[in-house]
Amino acid sequence: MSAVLEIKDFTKSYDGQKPAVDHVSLTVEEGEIFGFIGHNGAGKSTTIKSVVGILSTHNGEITVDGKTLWEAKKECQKKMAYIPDNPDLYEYMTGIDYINFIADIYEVPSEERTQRIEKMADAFEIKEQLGDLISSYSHGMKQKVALISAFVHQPKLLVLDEPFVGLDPKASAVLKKLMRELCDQGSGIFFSTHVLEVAEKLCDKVAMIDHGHIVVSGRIDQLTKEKSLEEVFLEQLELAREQVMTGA
Amino acid sequence: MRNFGLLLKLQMDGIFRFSEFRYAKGTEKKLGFLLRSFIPLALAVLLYFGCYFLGQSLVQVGLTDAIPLIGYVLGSILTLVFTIIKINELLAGDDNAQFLLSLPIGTFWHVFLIFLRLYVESTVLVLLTNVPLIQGYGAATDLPGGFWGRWMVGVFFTCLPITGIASLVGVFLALILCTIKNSNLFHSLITLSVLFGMGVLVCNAVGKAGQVMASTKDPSEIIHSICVNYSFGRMYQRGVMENSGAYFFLFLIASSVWFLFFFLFMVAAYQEIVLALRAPKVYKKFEFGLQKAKTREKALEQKSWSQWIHSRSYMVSTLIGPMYAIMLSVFCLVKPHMISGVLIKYFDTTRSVESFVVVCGILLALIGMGCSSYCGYSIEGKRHWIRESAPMGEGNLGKYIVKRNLCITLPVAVIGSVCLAVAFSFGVLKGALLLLVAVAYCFATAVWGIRVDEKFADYSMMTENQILRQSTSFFLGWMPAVALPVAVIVVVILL
Repeated sequence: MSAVLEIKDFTKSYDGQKPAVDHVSLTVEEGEIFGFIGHNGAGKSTTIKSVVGILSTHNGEITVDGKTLWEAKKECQKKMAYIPDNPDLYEYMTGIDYINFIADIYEVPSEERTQRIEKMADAFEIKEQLGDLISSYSHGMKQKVALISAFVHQPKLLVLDEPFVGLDPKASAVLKKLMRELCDQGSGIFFSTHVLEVAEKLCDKVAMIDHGHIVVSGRIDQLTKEKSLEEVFLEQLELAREQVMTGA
Repeated sequence: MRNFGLLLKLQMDGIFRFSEFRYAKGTEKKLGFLLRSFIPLALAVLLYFGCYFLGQSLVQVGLTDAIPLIGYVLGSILTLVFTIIKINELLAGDDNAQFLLSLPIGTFWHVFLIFLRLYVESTVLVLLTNVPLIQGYGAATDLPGGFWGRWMVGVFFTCLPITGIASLVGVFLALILCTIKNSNLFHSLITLSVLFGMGVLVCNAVGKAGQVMASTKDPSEIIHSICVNYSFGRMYQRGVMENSGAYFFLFLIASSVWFLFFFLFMVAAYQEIVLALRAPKVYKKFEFGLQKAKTREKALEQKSWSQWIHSRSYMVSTLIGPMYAIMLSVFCLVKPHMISGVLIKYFDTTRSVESFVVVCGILLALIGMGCSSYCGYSIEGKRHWIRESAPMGEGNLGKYIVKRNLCITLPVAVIGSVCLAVAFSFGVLKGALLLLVAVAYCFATAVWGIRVDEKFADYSMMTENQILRQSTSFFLGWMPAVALPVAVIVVVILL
């Protein structure tokens, strides 16, 4: 298995002083679902935005499917799809126009996209609303359209920021199935969440981030051998904060 | 009462933006706010001095007695256009409308505060037009006793009758348009039609002023024509200008009653209007079929146009200048005798270089108003993640934004310069120079705009109006494109 995403010693600071993300390293292999766990403001979104090329200034290295992001940004982006935690879409487009726009950007042939969109729209039960303007959609519907547009070009690396927020239970189940199918085809998924149950059931690997530092990282089956993921998370969080307090 | 006070603060904050300044973090942001505040201030100064010069011109051509009534009509027209454009946004256009309805405050007070905001903003416009006009009037005539008191009261009643009816027209338009899928496009076309109509009115007025200057200098003709066509104008003229106590009283009562009628109608219909405007739209049933693929370039180009067409404020604000440029050029071409009377007052036409620079400057300023690239990126707002995370390529989208900008301004430059060159008999050499300068200016403003936006795009702004009128990109991209030719004209006139 080769790495679809490799982050090495990555540091990012907004004000040039206190880093929001500090010396983070992790690897997502082909066929893996990688969960990135942390509380609000821990540094998850900063890492994710840097991975997809939205944040540019950096220290360290990020490679996507063997190519360095800073050197070949467009090539890396061609292999990726990204959905933020609150996907604001082009409200002047209809759902189908938006999905087609993204499919055009990623150069997905006509037959392939038709087949994929129809399958996913059926699964998410949104097919009949695809002709409506996005401005008329609820948060959940926007999320579904964003997800279809992310899956439509079958990216090598799928990056999702809190993808389950706002989805109904059925749509969450559909998304989990789609994620697994994509990984079975050799892609990798890197997603953030603060819902530990989801991470425990869905992920192959997880990393926990606190105040910009990775505090735990590893395979989920190894981490949850003796304890639940929630217990591991709270324990590590406590430990990390004690270390900060004692200056260790 | 406390809740009412909070709502009042909310509405007034919407006009004057105290909170934005108070809670801006750091000196840099506060300075940025002050810098942006300079824009409406500059526009206000422009309007004020425009009206001041209008007043002086009317005095010069012997139309002094018609000045107050012209001021009243001008204030009413500005209130009409402003209210029609603004009412939908204030009533239900923003996401706060439904939230506000859920608060324990009566509908009456919601509508009262909305109308109060409309009244304050319209009265500012009325004052900006009427005060400079009346300055010219006051300096040129012996004012009758009690004039200033009556005039002051009249000014504060000017926008009342128009606000009422304009709000109803605006709401009806919004209700009709909200059932149409491409309502933003239709809304833009209606707004542009209103502005086009105003342009035609101004052109006619200039033409008539030219004729008046050439023939009669009798203001009573103008006063009579306004009084016949506009009954509130007649009451204003009789009550305020001719010192008829009965008409003055009638003017105040009629303005208030007329306003109250529409205000109470809005109070009664407010909830239904908000719900109708915010109701989910049901369009034709979507049938899924084969999805056609396009090239990346074609998709980006279509997106660039689609974004511009579907954003009402973006489209309208960048089409006003080009529309007026065409209108002015064609008007100058087909009715040159109508404007000659006015132009001779200001320019010595024997100095041909001077008149060339002035005509060229006007055309360039209007082309500059058509610069849409200055917010090509920043208009994406919170959707900027799509562009930044997708492999669109650096500058690729920018290329299509510049192309779209040129598609709008280049035909205007060609038509405008040809018409103006013929109308002012510039000859082949000067005509070619005018065309060349205009075309070059189209390229320069489009490229300048996108370069500025690349550097200063601010994606944190909440609404398109904020991006279009308050962003650094607007200040550094759009403003110089308009201000530079205007500055050249001013220098030439002063020299």
